[in-house]
Amino acid sequence: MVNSNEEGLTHESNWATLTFEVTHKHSAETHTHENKEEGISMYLFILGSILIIGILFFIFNRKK
Amino acid sequence: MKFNLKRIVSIVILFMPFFAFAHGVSSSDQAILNNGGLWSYIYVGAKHMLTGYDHLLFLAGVVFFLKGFKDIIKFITVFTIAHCITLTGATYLAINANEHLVDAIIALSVFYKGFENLGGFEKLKVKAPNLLLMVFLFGLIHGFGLSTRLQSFEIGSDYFLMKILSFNLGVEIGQILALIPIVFLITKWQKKESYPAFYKATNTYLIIIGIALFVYQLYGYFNSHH
Repeated sequence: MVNSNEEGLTHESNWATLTFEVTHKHSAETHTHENKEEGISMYLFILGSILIIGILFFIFNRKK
Repeated sequence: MKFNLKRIVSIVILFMPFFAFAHGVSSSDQAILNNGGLWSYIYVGAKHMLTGYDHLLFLAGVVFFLKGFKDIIKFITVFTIAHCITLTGATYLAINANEHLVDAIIALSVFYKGFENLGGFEKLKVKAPNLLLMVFLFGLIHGFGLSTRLQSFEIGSDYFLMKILSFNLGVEIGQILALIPIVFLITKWQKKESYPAFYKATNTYLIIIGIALFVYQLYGYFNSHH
């Protein structure tokens, strides 16, 4: 195992077949991936709300 | 207006999946708070208000009921004072409650506003409670909901009060940003012929979504470890 000069890598296998990064941690303090599901549900909520209001508006406007 | 119970129940069931993950504390927000100082509390507070649709739905219901910009300012100020009291006070004193139950009451406030706007109390031949008082009471509950959310973050003890006040400032910024398009849309539409249909449609939606959010929060309460 030797240190690697390549950007994004910290170590490189002597056999030059296996490279990986060892700085990425998954503890509560360091794990920062976006919660994609939250964004999707908000997007769905707005779309769903507009759809329902639109349908109700159509019904009430026709009744008028 | 006749309330078609079957139609309302079917729309509520159809809408349930949309609530998943909404309004929760995300790990990305926690990371922002860990690394960003007081500005990050302003940012997360504003983000929470803009994505916390139950607060905005209630405010939209209040704005619908009012006539004139002066009235809007008066009621929004009362709502703001009330939620500042519980947001700051409850967080500082570490007063907490189950967030599902608090959110269930907030959902009822959304239902209440739609019901009142559609003349529900008159139909029941009951005198409607004073709106300013109700906005103040619901403002206290909304603030408590915001407080339980803030308390679910790891915020540490350094600059504790400043962090709470920064989050509160963010909430107010988010509220202003959200109210601008809401007030603009409602006041512009008031001059149009189709306004009565828009009024009925939106307030019926508030009733439906209020019930749906209430059921969803109770489901969350009974299915969580509390």
